[in-house]
Amino acid sequence: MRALDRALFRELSRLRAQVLTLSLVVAAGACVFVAMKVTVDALEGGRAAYFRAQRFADLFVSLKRAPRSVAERLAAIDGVAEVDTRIAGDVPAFVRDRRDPALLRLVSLDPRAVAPLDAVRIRQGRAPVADRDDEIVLNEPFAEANRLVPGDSLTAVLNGRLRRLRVVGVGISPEFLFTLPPGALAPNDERFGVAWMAPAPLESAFEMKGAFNDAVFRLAPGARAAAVIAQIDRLLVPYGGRGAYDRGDQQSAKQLDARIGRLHAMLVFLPALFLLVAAFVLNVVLGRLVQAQREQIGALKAFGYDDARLGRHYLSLALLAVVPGAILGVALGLELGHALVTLFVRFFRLPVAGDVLDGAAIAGAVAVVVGAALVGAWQAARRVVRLQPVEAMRAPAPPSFRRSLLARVGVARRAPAALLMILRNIRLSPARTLASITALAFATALCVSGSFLGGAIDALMHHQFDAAMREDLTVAFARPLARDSCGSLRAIDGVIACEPLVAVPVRARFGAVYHEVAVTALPEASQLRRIIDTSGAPVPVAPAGLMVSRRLLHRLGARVGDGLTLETIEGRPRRVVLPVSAAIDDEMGLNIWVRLPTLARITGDAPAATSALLRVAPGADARVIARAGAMPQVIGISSRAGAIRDFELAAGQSMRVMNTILALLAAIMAIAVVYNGARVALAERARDLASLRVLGFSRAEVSRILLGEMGLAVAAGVPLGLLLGRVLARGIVAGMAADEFRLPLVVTPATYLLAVCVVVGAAVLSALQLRRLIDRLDLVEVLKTRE
Amino acid sequence: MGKAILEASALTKRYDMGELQVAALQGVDLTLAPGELVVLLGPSGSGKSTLLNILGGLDSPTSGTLRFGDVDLTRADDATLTRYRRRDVGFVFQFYNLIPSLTAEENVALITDIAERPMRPAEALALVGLDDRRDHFPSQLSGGQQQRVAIARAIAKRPTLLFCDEPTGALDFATGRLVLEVIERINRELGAATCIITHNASIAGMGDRVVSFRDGRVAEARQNGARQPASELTW
Repeated sequence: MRALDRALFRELSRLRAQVLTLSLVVAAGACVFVAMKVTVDALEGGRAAYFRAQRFADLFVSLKRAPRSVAERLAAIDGVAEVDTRIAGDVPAFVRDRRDPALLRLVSLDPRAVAPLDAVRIRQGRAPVADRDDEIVLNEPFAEANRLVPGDSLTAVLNGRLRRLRVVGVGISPEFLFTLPPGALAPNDERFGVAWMAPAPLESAFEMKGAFNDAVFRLAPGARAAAVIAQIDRLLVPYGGRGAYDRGDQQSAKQLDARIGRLHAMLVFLPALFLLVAAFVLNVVLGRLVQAQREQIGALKAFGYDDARLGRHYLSLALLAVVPGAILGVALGLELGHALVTLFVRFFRLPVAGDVLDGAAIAGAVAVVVGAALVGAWQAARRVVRLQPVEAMRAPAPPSFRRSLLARVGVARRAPAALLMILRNIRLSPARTLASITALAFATALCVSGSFLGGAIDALMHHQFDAAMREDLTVAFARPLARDSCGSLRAIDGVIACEPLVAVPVRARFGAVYHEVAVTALPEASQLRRIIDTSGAPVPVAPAGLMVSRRLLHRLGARVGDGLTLETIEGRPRRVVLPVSAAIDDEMGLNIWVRLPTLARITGDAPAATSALLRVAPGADARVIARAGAMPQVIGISSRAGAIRDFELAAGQSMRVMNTILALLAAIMAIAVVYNGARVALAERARDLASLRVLGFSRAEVSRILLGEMGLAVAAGVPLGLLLGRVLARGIVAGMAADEFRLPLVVTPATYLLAVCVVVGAAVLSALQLRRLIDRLDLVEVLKTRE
Repeated sequence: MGKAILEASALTKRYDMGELQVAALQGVDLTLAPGELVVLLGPSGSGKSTLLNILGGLDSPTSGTLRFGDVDLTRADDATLTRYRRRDVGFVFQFYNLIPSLTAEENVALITDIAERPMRPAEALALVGLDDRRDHFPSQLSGGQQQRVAIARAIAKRPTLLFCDEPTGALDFATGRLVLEVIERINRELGAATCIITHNASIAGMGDRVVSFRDGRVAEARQNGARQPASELTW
């Protein structure tokens, strides 16, 4: 080993505490990068393979009813390569002896079809036989949630008659990886499922003899989806077409996309944050090292070492310093990635996953870590290269301090000299202080943005379940009933109050843009349901016109005062233009709220109840569910308690894990910044501080001067980070906003407090460690040497 | 000469250097009386700096005793020594050890901020003849001026003891003599017992007493009949 290389390793060993904290930051960045990249690659690979294998359709449409001959006309549309038609419909189903129905979407599956689109992958059992009218294949999530396996059976209401259906298989299709029950906030696999069965029984059940009400399409290569959609929609107008859409609007694909997309965002954002901080820490540490080794550098240059060789020496130092972190990070990242892939593959029900040992991920992590190291070391290496030997061997010119304007006008005369020391040192290296503050702000913001979701979800749940939905049960009717149909429900023992809810599905159109939504009318002075905006305040329905979700207006490109064209989807086709009289910032679904008379104008006849809201005596839930579930007009019952449980299950657990991880990462970041910053400050000021100790300053007083500088950075960085965290939270809320819900931008005091505690705690930990070094300052040595 | 304020007797100091033991002090007796000016003379390595470090509360002796008034400093803990340095001791070092980020006045204020009955920083600077330089940073001052700021810093607390370690070591002759004149005047006007360490025998004349060191021992101690004014020193 050459002497210069030996020096390299000795320096690394001397700086080991700093290398350790640096390694943790690098490891965190590399780990998150590798884990996310592995996960995203495996999921995207798995998704692509799965979609290909199951021939996932490009376009989807449902309609009222069209004769089978229409299929040929659909297939003839320019750009359509293939079309499969189906029969689909929702029915109430009873599992075992449960008295309340689950909602089952029946979809026809032709066992004779060769290579159909959206093929069902049978995971257990077999496909239904064509001439058996009682065999079904259940969607895996529903089967698992209800513990149903091939050989079991359930009952469903078909054509008004209770029919026994035998489960012959359990399968999964890309179309139904994620299912959301109509109008629900979170998936509920126990109460909403999909079942495939032979076409014949469905033809009779839904009066579709020789007809279909659902179609899926494969696009020809190079075809434009939008153009094809327009043609499909035009063709299906007479058949009650509900508007074709592509994968981007397909519920299951959209959910999968959104989830992978969120991972993607983290893949970029988190590692970038850590590697920026790592680069900064390296910059500070190496900057000090070069300063301290000026004379050595000068001497080496005098001996004939050239600039490039010495520059490389310091760059190598930086690279070696990040190696342990990179190795640790890649190893941890592969482990974490493996765990995440296993988890997500299960969660997303992808039957296959891409490769987990991802060479690209490892190479990528190494590249970004090396990049960060080079960025961090660049300034120091450049200083080494530029240093002239003669100049280097002289003591460095003393830094030139200036008195601030305040000091000159006398304000600072009263300030303690120790405080002035702190302030002037900060002013001497403002870039470093600024970077420290920024890095601490990052750490704080990371903590805030990681943990605010819990509070925001609590707020959303509070708004929804405490302020808006005050009913205990919602009873959905199979078909609209007279508005006084509450009578029979109210008669059930245990029902305290019942209110009918009228909702009509419409296509809301503004210019060329449209969206399918429900127009809902609540009874005047409804006790059980209120409309709540993002602040949690109840909003009364505008007396005339439409009150529209702001997100829906935004989608349509409309504003308050514009007229929306509403087309009914079910029943008699009608088209009415009504003005938007108010916009509402609501959190749940895309909604149009009206008063009853307005609804009557839309439907053209007396509004009918589509569901009923019940308040039930304490403890009477099960009894009421059983009685109401047995009523033939009832298609489904959902309970508020169940909805809360589903939501917590879907959102709560993963949030908590994420919170802990992010808080830990934030702490690592804060420790690295504070510890290294103060370590370097200590090296630079050891002489001053030891002089002060000689002059009678106590250890505590000297520590205060050194740590005061870091304290000020923390004091500036943390509030800044809280603000930045709020900005990030706003971005996350906007990024997560889906049609189904929008989180309120609520950052609770507890969230802020947690972030402050994590970062300040990490700073205190670093300070305690430094205090030990300060206590060991050599008082005698300092008097003998000139700096 | 009054009763001794600082009494050291039979001080030894040994450093363990691996297998080797180095004796820096070998049984040194020394007293300082209020207002007295003592010159400790000796070549480098003779143990005088070690003695000063122990007298000043920066280091502890291996054996022997050290008393300041009624306080036994021999085995004092860090807090006691810190208090002693803070309240009673003024230090002047060869390399000034000023804080570069503070102006002359602020360097003095650093000490007056924590002292019990200090003079005003401006007053201390006036005593060393630097009242017109109080807003200058160390880097804007000459070596002599920096050393005078260091003296102002040492005396601003009105110390009982003033220790000067090679105060002229880094200065040219004219500037060094000027600094010694300041120390002499401070000793007279404030009455602090003053101890100057030097290897420069020409300075010996300005002390009430001269203690010569060799090999960690007091080689000779003599009383000067009359102090020679610092302004008359030459080397």
